[in-house]
Amino acid sequence: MPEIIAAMDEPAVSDIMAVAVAQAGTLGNGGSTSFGPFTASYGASATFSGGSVKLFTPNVVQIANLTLNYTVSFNLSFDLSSIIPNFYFPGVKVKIFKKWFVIIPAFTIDWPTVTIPVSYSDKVTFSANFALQTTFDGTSWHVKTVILGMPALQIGPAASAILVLIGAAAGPVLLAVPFIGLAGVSVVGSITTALGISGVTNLLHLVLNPFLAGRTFELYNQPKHFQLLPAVAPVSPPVFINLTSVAAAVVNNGEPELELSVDIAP
Amino acid sequence: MDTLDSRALGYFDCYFRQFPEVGTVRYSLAAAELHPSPEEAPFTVEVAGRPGRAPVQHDVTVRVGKDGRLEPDREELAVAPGDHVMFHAANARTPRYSVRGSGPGGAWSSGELENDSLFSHTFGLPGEYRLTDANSGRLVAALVVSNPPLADAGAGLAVRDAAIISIQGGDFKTQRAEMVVGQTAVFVVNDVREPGITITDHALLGPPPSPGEPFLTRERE
Repeated sequence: MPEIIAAMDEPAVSDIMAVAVAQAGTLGNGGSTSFGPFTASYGASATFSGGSVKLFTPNVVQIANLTLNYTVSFNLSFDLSSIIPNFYFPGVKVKIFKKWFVIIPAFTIDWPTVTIPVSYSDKVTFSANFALQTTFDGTSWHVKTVILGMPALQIGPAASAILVLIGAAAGPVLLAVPFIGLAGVSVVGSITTALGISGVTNLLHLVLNPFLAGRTFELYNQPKHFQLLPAVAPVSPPVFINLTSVAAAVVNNGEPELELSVDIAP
Repeated sequence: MDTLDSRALGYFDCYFRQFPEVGTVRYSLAAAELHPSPEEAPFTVEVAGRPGRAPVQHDVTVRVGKDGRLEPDREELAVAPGDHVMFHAANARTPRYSVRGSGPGGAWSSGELENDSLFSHTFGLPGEYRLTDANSGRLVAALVVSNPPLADAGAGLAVRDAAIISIQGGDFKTQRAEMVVGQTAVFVVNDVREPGITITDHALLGPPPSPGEPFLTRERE
């Protein structure tokens, strides 16, 4: 039988969880990836907010309507030649004042690699189950929730918006490519078609998933050795105790509660 | 970047020179910013024989040699009097360059267009190109280049006709022309004496003229 039992109902856990979510702060992520003809280098930042808690025995904390607020910046690079055919200039024969001809030679335009920068901010709301986890790091006890699996993010609308942004950002970049006006096709359309919603969706998952994979929120931490009562001079010294064990679980005593079981020693 | 400067020939440029006089012409190739000494002229154009034959164009492809220096695809070229030689870069990686030489007709340079020479540029980007003679500082012509309609671009219609711009005695006969991307402008230089002229995008030389500032001061002839 533990010496101390502390129990919180769902509203109380929701309040603590709101603090824990806020304390997670601003998270960062960056990297690069290649898919098809595209290479994307990216950086992202994210914060969490909101969420309401439901508890399920024996140790599941479900957070519904948790919001991931994020900003992503992509630099999308690709060889234009992989998207549109190279341009062939056939050469021209020019008659100079009815006297003589000159022939401008043929040449081929090997399209360059271009980089399209895109920045996008949005939020996505989701629900996820977390498991309770208690750890001791040598000096303090920590009670955390650790996400179970990977929640499904509804990022289709965001992917569509990013694809539109990429198309818009491609325009000024392409303006600087000599002879692009002779490509004979809608180059922006070719780029967005090659990318597709699925390409952007996969990219967005790649950027956002690290914010969720293994995500923890710390509900409680306490040094193992701490002062319980102050000194009452001159006769009573301060009282210290040691937390020898801390366990967390969801119990149901008529209603679900998060219960901390603590053993102490002087 | 698409720039236009006859002193620095690029992949979309050609320089033509006619050789009317019999004799040996020696010439050199140098990266645009370099000026080799007159003694460094390792390549030759031998002008000889067969008068009366119709002029012929000889193409010289300028490339980067194994030693990293610019070289023609053939070091010795035999032509007949009146033939013209066209210099053009092998590919887009060829550094911008100039050609200079001397022979029976005297010294010449692609950087100083004089008699019997042509310069061509195929436009890759739309915009207004204000052409300047860098030697005199005069703004001499404006070319307005626009993208062709998508359908024309796909059919390659834009590149079929070149625009011929005549320069007589240093004066441009055409002071303003409208062109499309992919079209070639051929500048034909006649009766221009030393120090010759250049055909240079004014944007390369300095800030553009103030709004409303007239820069074509000569009447169309």
